[in-house]
Amino acid sequence: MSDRDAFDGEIERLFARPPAFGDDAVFIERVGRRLNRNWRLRATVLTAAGVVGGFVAVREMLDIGVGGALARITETTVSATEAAQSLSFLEVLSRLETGGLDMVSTPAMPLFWLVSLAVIAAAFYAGLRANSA
Amino acid sequence: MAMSARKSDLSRLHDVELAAFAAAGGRREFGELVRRHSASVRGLLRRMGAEPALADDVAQDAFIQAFERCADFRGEGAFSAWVRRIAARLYIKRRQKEARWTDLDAAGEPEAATPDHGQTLDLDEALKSLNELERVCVSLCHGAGLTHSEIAAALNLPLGTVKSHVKRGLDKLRARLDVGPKPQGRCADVGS
Repeated sequence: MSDRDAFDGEIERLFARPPAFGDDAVFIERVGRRLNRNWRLRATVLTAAGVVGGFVAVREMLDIGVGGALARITETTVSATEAAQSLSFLEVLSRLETGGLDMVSTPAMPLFWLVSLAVIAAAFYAGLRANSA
Repeated sequence: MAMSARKSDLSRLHDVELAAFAAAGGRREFGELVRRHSASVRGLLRRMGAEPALADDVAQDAFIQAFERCADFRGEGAFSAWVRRIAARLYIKRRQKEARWTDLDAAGEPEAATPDHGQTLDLDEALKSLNELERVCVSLCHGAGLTHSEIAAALNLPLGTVKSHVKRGLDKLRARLDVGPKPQGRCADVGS
């Protein structure tokens, strides 16, 4: 090993040896506290965003008359079920293909909002879990 | 892998494993990493010339940032080296907000005690004989493991200036530490 490498090695060895600090425990505790505070803040923001998103979704659904749309979906489903009960399986399939049963005219927007609400609820639940972790 | 390690297991886990837990949100596991490496990070910042309060402040920021970026740590180098680099860069940014390094260069040589012949000082004492830029450059090179080019980019200084600061700093350290003959830069860039 050359003298140059020996000196560099010595300097790096000295740098690798950290000085002793009497207040290590205090420092570690402060970092832990900051980590926990950041974590709680993040979980709170996520939860709040979920709640706000949920409220917006509910309001949108009410604005577009989701109650009526749900009633139409239920009515359609009941009539389709009743029709299906009086038909054989193959007849049901053929009617579906030809649009004989009224299952394809379901309004898209209410379904979209229902799915959105479910996603927001899942995010809200995830936020709560993260908060309690 | 389980979602988190039991407290009794933490001390037995390797840094890479702890970092993987931390990347999944494991704050207890990250706490173990802080416990293991806080002295190394705080020490580097003080060796770079930071006042104790500022050094601890920057070290805290570095650990918080490391936790948020834990998924980026692939275990290719030591975890402590990775955090030290984060801390060094944060400190440089903080100092650059306060004063330009080029201005500091004109600050002159610090007055340091001259050891009697044969007396060996410790590194922290010896570093006090360097001016601020030499101290920062040597610490970044040998303490944080940055190359000359990386230091030049981080400090916004010409590469040649960084090389001469490292060389002069090492010369002074060698004289103070009494640990062998004239040095050359080890962290020189390939081909430079």
